[in-house]
Amino acid sequence: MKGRLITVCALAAGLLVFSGPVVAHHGSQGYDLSKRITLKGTVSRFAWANPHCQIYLDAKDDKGSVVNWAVELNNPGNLVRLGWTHVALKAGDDVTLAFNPGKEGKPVGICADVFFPDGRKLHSTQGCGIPQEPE
Amino acid sequence: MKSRPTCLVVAVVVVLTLSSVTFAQTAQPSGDTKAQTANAPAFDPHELTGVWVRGKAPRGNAPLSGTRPPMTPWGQAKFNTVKGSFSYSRSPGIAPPVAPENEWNDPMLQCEPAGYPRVMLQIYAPLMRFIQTSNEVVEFFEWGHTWRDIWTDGRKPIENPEPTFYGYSVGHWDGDTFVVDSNGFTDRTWTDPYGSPHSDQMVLHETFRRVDHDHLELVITLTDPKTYTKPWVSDKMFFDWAPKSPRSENEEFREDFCIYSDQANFFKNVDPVGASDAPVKNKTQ
Repeated sequence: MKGRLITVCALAAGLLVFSGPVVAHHGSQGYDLSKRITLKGTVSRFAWANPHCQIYLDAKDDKGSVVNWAVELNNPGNLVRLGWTHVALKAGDDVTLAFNPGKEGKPVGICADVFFPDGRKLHSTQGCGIPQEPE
Repeated sequence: MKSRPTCLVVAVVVVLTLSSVTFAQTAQPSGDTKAQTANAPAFDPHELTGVWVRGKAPRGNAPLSGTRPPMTPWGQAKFNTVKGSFSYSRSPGIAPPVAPENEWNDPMLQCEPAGYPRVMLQIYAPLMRFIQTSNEVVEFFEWGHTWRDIWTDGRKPIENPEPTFYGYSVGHWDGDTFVVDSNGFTDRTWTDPYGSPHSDQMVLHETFRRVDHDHLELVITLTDPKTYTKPWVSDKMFFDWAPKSPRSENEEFREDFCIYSDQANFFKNVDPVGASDAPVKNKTQ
């Protein structure tokens, strides 16, 4: 438990240290950084590219219709430092994403945390604070 | 649950401690240099070959220093055309106004080369790499996977060389300091992410000094009388030696390109504000 606490604290500290400049790379004003949503869905595409990697996720809305969400991540080099690889995700993967959504109802997001069914997690630090477990 | 407040406190303390080292003491080496030197591996101060990761300063998205020299009317007019594109928390006193996203005019958002010295000041791709040969030192940059030649065969700077993004450079050793003088820069680039201008008359005088096995120090002096009324001397920049790249799955120097179609797709598909009006979509390559 103590080891886990240290790990979580170190991760949190790292996130805060490196968060400021990264989120400033491009406009973040279109995102609601005070709101966090969680979606369970299927990856339709994983883009490993500058300026930001992207996860495209098919998830059902309240009415049962499938919506394709586009969620941006950090850039590839920074993701490697965080333990990601270019094959961290692939089309067809079932995952849960937690992220900050766009302000105007567009199905986009930023600051994604990825939770896999087998318990693995991946985080993309972009100035959004400490990763949180999905509800 | 009880651990979360404790965690937060620890995190904040660590952050504040690291932040003070990282951001507040940008002009001083970290720690006790003499003690570090005593325990560090032996090194040849004339050996620069290796991968260097941008250290505690600049962290990126920084100007050469927070005190920009007064601009000439020409320089000021050029700076007035800058439409800032992100927060300028490092040195707000010299920042351009931040414009609506559809007005951003940072040339790097169009995937234009960073150029020198801006490539050393960007937030992304913080690695550079030196390789020394018998007649030149090659400085590779992670961003753009490009390089500049620093000729060490005794040649003198060329008067009025063909303008390039990375300039024409000659170098020599002055004691344990590697001195580089450069000119021949195109005026298409910004000097830094703040949009600080320069003209094609810009010349740079740089001093690289390997202070110990793991640390390289750099000071850049920019002289451009067409743009500034006096030289602009940078803060000390620091680079940490790395045995391999920490930013590549292959542990090699990353191919960190700005690819125009990827940039356009990102703004089209993801960025919520720039979906229809991002600057990258307003121009053809």
